[in-house]
Amino acid sequence: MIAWMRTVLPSGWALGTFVFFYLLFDAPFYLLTLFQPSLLALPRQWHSESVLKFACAAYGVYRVAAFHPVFRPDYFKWLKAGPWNSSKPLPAGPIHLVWQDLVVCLIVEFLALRYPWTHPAVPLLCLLVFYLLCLSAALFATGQRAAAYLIAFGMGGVVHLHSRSWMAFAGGVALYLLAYGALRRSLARFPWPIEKIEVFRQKLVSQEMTRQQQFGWPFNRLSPRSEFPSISWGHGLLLSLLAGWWCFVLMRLIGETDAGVFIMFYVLPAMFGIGARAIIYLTGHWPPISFWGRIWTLRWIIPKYDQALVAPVLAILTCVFAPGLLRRLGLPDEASYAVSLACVLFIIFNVGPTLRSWRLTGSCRLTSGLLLMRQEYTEV
Amino acid sequence: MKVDGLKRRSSEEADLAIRRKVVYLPDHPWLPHNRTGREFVLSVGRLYDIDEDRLMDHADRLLQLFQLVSQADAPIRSYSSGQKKKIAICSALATEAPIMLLDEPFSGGLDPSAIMALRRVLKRLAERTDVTVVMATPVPELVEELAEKVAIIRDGQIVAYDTVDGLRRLSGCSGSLEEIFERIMRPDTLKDIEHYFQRPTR
Repeated sequence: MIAWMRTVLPSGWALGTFVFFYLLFDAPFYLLTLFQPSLLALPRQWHSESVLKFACAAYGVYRVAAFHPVFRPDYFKWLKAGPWNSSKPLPAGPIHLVWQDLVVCLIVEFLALRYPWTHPAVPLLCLLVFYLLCLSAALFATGQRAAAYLIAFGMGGVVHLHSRSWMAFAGGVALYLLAYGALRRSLARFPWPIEKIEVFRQKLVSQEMTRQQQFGWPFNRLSPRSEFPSISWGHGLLLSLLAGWWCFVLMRLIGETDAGVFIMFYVLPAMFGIGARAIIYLTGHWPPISFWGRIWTLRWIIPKYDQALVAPVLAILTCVFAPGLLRRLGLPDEASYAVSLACVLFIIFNVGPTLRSWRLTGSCRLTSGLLLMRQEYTEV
Repeated sequence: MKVDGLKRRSSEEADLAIRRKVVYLPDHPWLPHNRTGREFVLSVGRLYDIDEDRLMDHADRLLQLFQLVSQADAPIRSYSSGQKKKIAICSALATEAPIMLLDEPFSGGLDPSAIMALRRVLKRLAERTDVTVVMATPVPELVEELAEKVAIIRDGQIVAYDTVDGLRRLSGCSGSLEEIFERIMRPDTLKDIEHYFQRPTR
């Protein structure tokens, strides 16, 4: 049985960590309730329930991240070098859910029965949501982009329906069937176009590729083979809509639009997007003259440089003023923030100039930039 | 500014074409200190799409020329500052770019044999018609034997740009480039020296 379960189970230390924290939070209350049964009426005190939900989410991520070749560069290389094809089982274990996962789900359900105030489908929903979100990222990287978007949008719907737990769970299962079909199609096309996987791996998983691409100053800036990250108009639109949809779903899930929720789901993602765009564009590319130089020479605007600042400024203005405007039009709070976030990210992704165009034709002064702060470079 | 007939930053294609033709070596380059010298030279050469066999052979010859063979497979962090400068020079030369912009290539702790080697290499490159070397240096005697034309810059402005003979005519001085340089840059230097020694020192 243990050998059979090992196909999908995480390592011993991961299981041990879960058991340790579960007991750490559960045992004191279990002992207390022996003497004072009325404590059972205080559901918020039962932190072991949170540990269980967190473990379910982590297991969902693990079931994709540890088994899909996209997330394991060496496994991908080894698989590609061998005779494996999609008609054979994956050597490191299945990515799709199997009977062993059902055993895990039954154990989760057994533990969930101890918390009668929580619907028994909720921990399973946690597992399914994180499993499918992680799988949608893998499907996106392996070319099944329509399915990836459908799953990512659909999971938002599942979370939105959380109060009708079995309905949400049924929605999750339907999305799983969709994901399973897309997974089969993507595995049938193995090995996937290498450049897509390399880029994905370089950005998300492996440090090796980035290490290989370290040239220091000035080659990182002036190389004839410089890479300019870009995103297509359609993906920019879909990703911004997706972010807006999840903002709406999570705000509804929390149910209160207080300052913390507002900052967590609206301000932080918007500021992250704006900051990321500004850093990606401007790092190591300074204005041709300084701020005081602009004032002194009356060249307050340098069009060929300042065009890179248009999108961030527009996004900041949208971030600040759009929610109020939308509320005046009668939209509820969550919807105003969600639409505003989608607009902010749409501007970030789709308003020009493109990085390639600005870097190659804009007027800027190249510097070593953030290399000064990075440990892996040395100045001569 | 135009490079080989292509206006810089006029279009994406023009700028990429210029990048393929030009290599720039700053006075203080930044090198990845966890990579070996050989790895770094080869990967910079690959940026310029140099044929792999030719690149490896070229890298070997450069490392031998600059006496880096024993250090070539050690991480750059273990190099002395002179060796780091040498590996930066090797990487620029490995690109085989037809236009080389070198900012103070002789500074940065190069030992005498490396200075001699670099002078010889630059002289040979300068003699070729398909290679242009633009070099900035504060030491006139290094320029005299290498340069076809010399630009003298004072306070960010070009005050003279000609052959060495042309500069001699311009300055009215028939001496070395160092003397011409003094005449053009600091005509009062000789007077200042006299002034300095007017007061007796111990």
